[in-house]
Amino acid sequence: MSTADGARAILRLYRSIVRAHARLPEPMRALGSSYARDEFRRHIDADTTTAAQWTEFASQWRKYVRAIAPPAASSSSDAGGAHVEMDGVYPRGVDAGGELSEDAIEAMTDEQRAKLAELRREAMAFGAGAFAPRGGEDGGEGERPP
Amino acid sequence: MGAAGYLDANQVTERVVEVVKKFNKVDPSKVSPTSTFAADLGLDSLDTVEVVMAFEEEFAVEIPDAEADKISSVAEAVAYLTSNPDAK
Repeated sequence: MSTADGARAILRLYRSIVRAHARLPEPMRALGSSYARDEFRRHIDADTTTAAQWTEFASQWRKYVRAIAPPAASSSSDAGGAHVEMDGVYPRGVDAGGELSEDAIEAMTDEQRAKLAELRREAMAFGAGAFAPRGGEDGGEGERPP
Repeated sequence: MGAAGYLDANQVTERVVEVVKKFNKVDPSKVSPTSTFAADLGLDSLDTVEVVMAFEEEFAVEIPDAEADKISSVAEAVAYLTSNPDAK
């Protein structure tokens, strides 16, 4: 795969992520998009990102797109380009739009678990701002998006 | 969507320019019908993906990857959108 093809595949993957986020309600849409944007930009800006790292990066984000995309739309939102099957290497058990299974968390590396914890903290901080009680509302169950 | 027909190029240009002006990293005063996203407006490849997605929302079309890959200026966006009979 040439560098140009690789760059195009990465941009197509990014497009599929932005497209999947467009179907999410706020604040998940904004949170997801800014997280993805930062991650992609960091990898693109780092000249030292190796081909193997790109492969893993792309593979993880493809799983993410499959996890958040509604089943009916999953085929059209697939990133295309070089498809990398890494089954057995990465944790299984991610349901569409659902919770991570115990098995999936169990199978993660320490780095992945740290990343998950970081994402959870960011999400909580973001959510705390987005769902701050207003005008005496208690900000409880009723305020959660579907 | 039947015979919706093609959109008027001047109106498409106006709407495309408006969408680009609203993009948060763009200096609105720099946007013109001849602007290129990278050289003139300082957008990188990820920004460009997001701008092209914003055109999709504005014109209610899904631009296929092969076409979206080629759009890197206001004029190229206008050319695609005026050639797509589904653009609204």
